[in-house]
Amino acid sequence: MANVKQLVQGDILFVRLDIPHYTGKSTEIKRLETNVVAEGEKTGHKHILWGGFLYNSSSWGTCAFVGNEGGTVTHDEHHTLNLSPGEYRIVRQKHYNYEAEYKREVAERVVED
Amino acid sequence: MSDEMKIITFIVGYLIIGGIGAWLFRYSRGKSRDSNWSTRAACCFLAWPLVTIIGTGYLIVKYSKPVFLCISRKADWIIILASKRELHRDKFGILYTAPSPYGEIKFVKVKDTTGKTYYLTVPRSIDTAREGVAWTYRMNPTDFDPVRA
Repeated sequence: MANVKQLVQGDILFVRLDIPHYTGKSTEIKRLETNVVAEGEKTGHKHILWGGFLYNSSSWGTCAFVGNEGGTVTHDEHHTLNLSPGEYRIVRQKHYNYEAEYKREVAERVVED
Repeated sequence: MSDEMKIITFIVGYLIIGGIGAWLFRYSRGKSRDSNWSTRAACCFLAWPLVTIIGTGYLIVKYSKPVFLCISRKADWIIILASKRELHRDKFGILYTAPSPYGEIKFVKVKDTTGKTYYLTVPRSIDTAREGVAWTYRMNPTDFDPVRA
């Protein structure tokens, strides 16, 4: 398994952390009970981590810890993603909200007037 | 609740309340005394907002705005996609611009490994497809080079 730095499965990006973050002792890190990385808003399909666990970090948000034997992320529609041992920051894809920007601009114009 | 669910709820609500209205109309009149009951029940079904005012009011107050907003947003997207103009293309996707109700907007077309194509709006400052896709993942474009599952 190659040591790839960034992996994408659908709308989820896994970015490998160069410096291991999880100690299991730090109070700012909280291990999560679930292995569901993310759930589709419309379809309900889940990205599920196997061979590791998820934790919440104050600096990186939700991260994945993958054990020495490596892990996988499964999804009903996408191909299985293989993760080499290590820690990964999890980033969910977003889009720019032009409607909110427009409303904000209108509100600012009203205030100025 | 997703936009599709709102529409489905609206339609199912319409059918259920319309059906109840038609059923009440048919059985309250008595089948034997009214030979033309099915036509009237059908009319009642179509005109149920007049019969079930409370149900209508509830549905209109709760769902009409999101449903109409959803329809108008989808209509906006159809027009936006019809008038889109390509700005840049690379292995990450295609960057487009198009006029919209909110002014000129930019968006990237991305294809995932399942073969599905989807569009993601990005800020106007974006100039390349790579920059756009990297922005959607909050990444620096120069560092962004992921492997797709």
